[in-house]
Amino acid sequence: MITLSLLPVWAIDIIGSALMFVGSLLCLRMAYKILARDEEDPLATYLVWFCGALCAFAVSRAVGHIVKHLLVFAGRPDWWQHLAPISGSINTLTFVAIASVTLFIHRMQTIINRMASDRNKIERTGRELLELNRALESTVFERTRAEMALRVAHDIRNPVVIIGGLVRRLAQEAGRPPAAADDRLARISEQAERLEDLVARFESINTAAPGAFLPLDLGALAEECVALLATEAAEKGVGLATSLSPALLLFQGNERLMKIAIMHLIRNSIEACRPGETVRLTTELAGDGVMLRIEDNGPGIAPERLGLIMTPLAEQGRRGTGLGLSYVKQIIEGHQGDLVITSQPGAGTEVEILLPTHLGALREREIW
Amino acid sequence: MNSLFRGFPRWRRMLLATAPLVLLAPPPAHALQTHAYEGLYLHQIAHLFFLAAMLFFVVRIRRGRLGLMRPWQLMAAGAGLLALWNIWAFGGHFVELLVPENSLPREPGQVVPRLALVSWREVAYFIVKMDHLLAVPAIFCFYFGMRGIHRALAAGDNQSAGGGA
Repeated sequence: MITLSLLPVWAIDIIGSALMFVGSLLCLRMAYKILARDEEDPLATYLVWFCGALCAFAVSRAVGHIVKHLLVFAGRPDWWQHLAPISGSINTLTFVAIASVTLFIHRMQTIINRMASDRNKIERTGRELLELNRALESTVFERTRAEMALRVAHDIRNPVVIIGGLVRRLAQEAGRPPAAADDRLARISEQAERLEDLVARFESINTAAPGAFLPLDLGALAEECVALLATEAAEKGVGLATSLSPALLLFQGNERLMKIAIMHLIRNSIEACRPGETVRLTTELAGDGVMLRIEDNGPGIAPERLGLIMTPLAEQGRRGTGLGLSYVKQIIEGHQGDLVITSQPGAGTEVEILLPTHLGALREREIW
Repeated sequence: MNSLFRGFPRWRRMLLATAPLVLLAPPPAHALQTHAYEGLYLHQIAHLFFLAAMLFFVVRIRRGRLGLMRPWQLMAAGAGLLALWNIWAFGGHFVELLVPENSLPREPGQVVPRLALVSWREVAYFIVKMDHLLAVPAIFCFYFGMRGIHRALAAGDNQSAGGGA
């Protein structure tokens, strides 16, 4: 009869058990190193649990096998007869533990995918908000520059024109060309003309080319603004609800400016609301135009303030620069539209943007 | 008592009234089951559960985005090897039962027994007892996979680590 020594089997068993013991501890250590990078990372938490169960399995098994061999070598194999059921039971429990933990990979993947998708969404929203804020700053800057130029032009124009006219008349009355009549009179006339040119240039700033006006859907604009501000509202515990018309509510407008205006109004409503309250956006056809209504059930606006909120700088110090709503009004008026704000203290505020659907006349006004 | 059984049919009332009599002649309840032989079955069922979990792990990784990343490919390889190990060990436990004690003769003074190759069972016994040949590589696949995840995270490559885009 052929017999084989079981020495290779035993050697593999002992060395293998030791390697499993060491390997599983290394896995657990590595899992903790991954967790140490971010203790709230679901992937790292899952790996710690997985490796913990793997370690329990490998260690319980390795210890059982090594103890068994040690007892045999020590001449007490009978002791193993008593320990074997306990070791086997613990081993069985570790199988169940590692299998149970492993099955959570499905949930872990779902959580990670959701987090990745949310992170992308937040990054995209952040980028868009940054672009819109830059656009708002640029718009405010351009507008302020134009207004200042107009004011300067308005204040200087009359004295300059009078000075220039009088100088030229004096020269004519003298019957000679100003340059020949009096060098000093000629120089005054020249400077007056330069000032008149300057006034003309200042006046031309306000008639700079407006932004592009394209057909826009008011519902799509409202949806985009709601998506951009959803995180902000959620952080404050304010609900954002929409009731948008299924029809396309087209109007001619500047997308960037309209977004700025609508977002400003939604933000105002969010800031006015307490946690648990809701800002509702409704779009519908209204006569010859389209309408966006933004309602909130916040504390409302006192009647004495309601008349001032769209006046530039009247609200300065309350919140921000006090220019926000006046610019929104200018944007809406630049689209030949109307901005109507109604409010009852304690009952909330309602803002309506009314925009005409056919804006051939828009370009004629050349406000932007 | 009458009010208690009001509305019941007559035969049901009689049955309910006589029910307490069964307490006078109780049969064996078998309320406690003796646990003497199910240890091996329980262990084998646990092997099957472990096997299923490892296969599920492999499938989830290979079918998803994680399957494209080297560290997770190693993790899947580890799980695959552990799945094979479960099959190996599952068979090994049955083979152990089939090999009689006298197939493992131990000469006096000899610590390590010899194996008498009487039939295919002993040959199978010799092979299945070396299950560490699968289990050890599995553990090290997990280790190298996790080291890869750690390195990817350290390099700021969250996507390769499996943490999302």
